[in-house]
Amino acid sequence: MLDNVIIKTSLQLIWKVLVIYSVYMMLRGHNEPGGGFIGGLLLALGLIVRDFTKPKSENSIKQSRFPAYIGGLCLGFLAVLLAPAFMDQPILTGLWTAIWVPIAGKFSSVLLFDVVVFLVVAVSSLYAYAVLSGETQEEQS
Amino acid sequence: MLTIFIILAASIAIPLLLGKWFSKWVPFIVAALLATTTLKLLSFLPVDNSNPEMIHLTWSKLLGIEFIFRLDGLAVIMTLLICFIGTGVFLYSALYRKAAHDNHRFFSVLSIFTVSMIGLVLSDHMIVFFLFWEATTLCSFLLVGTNHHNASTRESARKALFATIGGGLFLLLGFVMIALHGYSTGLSLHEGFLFSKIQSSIVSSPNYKLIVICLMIAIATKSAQFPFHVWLPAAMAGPTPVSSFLHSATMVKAGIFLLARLTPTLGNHAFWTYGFTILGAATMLTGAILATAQRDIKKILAYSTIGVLGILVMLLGIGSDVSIKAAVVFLVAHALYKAALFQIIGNIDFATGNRDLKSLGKLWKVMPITAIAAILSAMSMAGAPPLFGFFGKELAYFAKLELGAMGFVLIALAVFSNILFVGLALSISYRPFWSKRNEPKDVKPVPRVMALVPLVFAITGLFIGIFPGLFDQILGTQGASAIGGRTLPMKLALWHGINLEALTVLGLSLITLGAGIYVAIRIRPIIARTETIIGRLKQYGPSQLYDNLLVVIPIYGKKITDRIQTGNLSFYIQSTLYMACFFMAWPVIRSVGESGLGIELSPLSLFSAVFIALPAVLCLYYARPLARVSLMAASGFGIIVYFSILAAPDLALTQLLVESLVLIFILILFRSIPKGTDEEPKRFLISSGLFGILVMLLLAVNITELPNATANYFLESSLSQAFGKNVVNVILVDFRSLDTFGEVVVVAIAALGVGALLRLTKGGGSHAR
Repeated sequence: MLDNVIIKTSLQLIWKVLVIYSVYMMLRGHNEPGGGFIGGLLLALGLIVRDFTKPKSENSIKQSRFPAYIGGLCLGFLAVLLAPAFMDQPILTGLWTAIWVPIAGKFSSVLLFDVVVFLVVAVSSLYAYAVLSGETQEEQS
Repeated sequence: MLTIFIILAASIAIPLLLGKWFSKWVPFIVAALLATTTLKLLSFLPVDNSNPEMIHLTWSKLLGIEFIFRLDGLAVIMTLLICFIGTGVFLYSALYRKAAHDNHRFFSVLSIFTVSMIGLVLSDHMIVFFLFWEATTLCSFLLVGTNHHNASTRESARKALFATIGGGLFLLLGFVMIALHGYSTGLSLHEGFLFSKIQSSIVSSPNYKLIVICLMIAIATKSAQFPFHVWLPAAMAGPTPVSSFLHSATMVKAGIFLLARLTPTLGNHAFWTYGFTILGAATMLTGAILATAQRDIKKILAYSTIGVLGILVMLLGIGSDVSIKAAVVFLVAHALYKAALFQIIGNIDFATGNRDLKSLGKLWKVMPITAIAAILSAMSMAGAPPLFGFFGKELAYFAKLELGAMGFVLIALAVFSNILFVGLALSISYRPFWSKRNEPKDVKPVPRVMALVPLVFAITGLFIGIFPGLFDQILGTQGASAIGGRTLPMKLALWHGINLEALTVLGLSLITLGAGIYVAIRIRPIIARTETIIGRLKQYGPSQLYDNLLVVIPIYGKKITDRIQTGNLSFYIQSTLYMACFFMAWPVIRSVGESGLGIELSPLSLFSAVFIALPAVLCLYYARPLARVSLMAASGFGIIVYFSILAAPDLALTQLLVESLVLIFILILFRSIPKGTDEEPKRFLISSGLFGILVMLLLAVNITELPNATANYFLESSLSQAFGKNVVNVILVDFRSLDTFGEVVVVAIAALGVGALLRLTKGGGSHAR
């Protein structure tokens, strides 16, 4: 997509940093600025940047399965929300465990919630990007 | 009672799991299971209404939904009928559908239907009741549409579904209103949904009439009352065993059952009494007259079923002691004879491939057992002594005699309809078997079981008729008491002694029978006459109305859609803005009038005016896309800085990322924006200008500070209760997680929408890969 070698090489580095950073942002969200939404957008941004570094023939992200991913994630989301109802708690209750998770602290249903937000936002943005870029490329060719 | 449920669960599981490999044996196994249930149920007799057998199974404690099943007098009658007739129907259809290839599906659906129906009559919780109600609706849709390769069958099945599903919504509405009334009088929401906990004070509730209307629509659609009766004759497109089951003891009786179930609590009001009496009478008349205009015997039975359902609704509507007893007797009698008659028609159809009353005859020699069953059932339908139908008819006349002036009208109508029914009953049982006009040809032999099943039903009717004591002591009394909500001892007798009332009723019965025989003799000209009259009236009837609606709704729907969905983006945006202005204008102007404007110049407001508002306004001025995108980005980055100044790092970060992504998206789209189609920006001048002014006014109004309590609550409890230091995030994922869920779903749907829209313009998803 890009012909400039310097930009291409630096983007190859940047997208990896962005992806790792997105996970970090998501995990630390409960105590510091960040969270699932921001993390998800960052992840999408990182993967889009990765797409820029690929040659034209390879670069469109495969989009055919995305609707299924989005639907599945939303269902998973619902499951996370309703899970407490099966443990004799009102739904949407935050459940905490003692398991230690790096950066985030302890593992909890709240963290799971954030992870699903993270994934839904990232996948949705990526899907929109994939459809849009695929569309314009076809028109050009 | 638990054993019954285990048996029933097995009778669902077996066809579903084994049906593929053992489709020949499955119906027999289910029939055996249902027969076992029947016997097991008999061991509960007589049931004690004040302390019935019960089962509790918690479904969701939180939502207050429990599977509560109660076996009271009414429920046990219905369950017995369903199991008994179900046994016969499974045996019958095992042979009737021997050659069919989709038996796996058919018997699975049929057994699910049977069990849902039993669940429906037993459940005490309205939500569970509603669940089973809808399950029977869906199953009956599938059953009626068994021959789905036929277009008219699909049409009929859809008609049945439309009518009954629509009624189901009203049912839910009525139930919720009942529960809310219970809730407001001190019951828990869970108890408010129990049939057995409905309070009689509901009659004085302000919503009472609304509740009754909702339930009336639900009952009328399910039990094919006027004017919703159109779906029932159409449902005859289903295979005959289905009709014999659905239109005798089940499906259509669900509405009657609901009516009976609610009679003790809701029935104590003139609105209820008159409403259902009139509804039932109208249906009775419609059914009787339309039945006389048919040649197809199955259609005759269908319309006579409508008539009988009308009679039942009318009797329950009247709600006096005698009429409730009459309803119970009639319910049982009708279930027995109608199931038998449908199967008899099935046999005739099976043997000759013909169901036309005019062209059948002399079948007596070929199918003697069926002929005997036909005579017995038809005599029960005609209400001839000593068959069980006779008691129903007698009691119904007694009930109407008590009513005075209104009763005379009802008696006149009832005698008229009954004469027609007697005529039809005699013709359908006599003509196909003994009429000398037609010779049967190419007759296929009917399997013995198929002939015996209706005979068993018919003989049961005869048996109860000869020994009514067996019925009224252990079933009838309890059933009537459960419906009436008071003890109603039932004593059936063929001869009521010599007094004025009894003689009147006897006279009415004799008139009915006599005139009915006359009708049966002259049945051909009468059918021809009514056929022409009905044919003339047809274009005003509800059936035609339904057909017209099916044609008209899509046309107008398309017109309206074309008008709203122009496909022009700027039209959508403008109308959205105008709508927002419309709803905002009055509150904003009022609050400006009340508290005046307070404009205060601070560095922050100046900053936002220059870096956020100015680029946005300039957007309207520049027509070139690149300029507009840059200005929008400028405005967006202004907002980011604004958030940072206000110390909201989360918001600023999000805004930053969103801006970046939007920029990328727009840049991608740039390649495909065709040259020379720039929207004239001034088109938006009015709508966006108005909207901007309103927003500015809103911001400038001197609104007193919102109370800080909520903010403080979140600040304080964020760490202590939700264990998070980032309050914004804690609000998102914990305190307000339902909102977040909604927002994220919106994001997902928007993404799917983008995909769908772009693929749609390409015409199908062929390039998706």
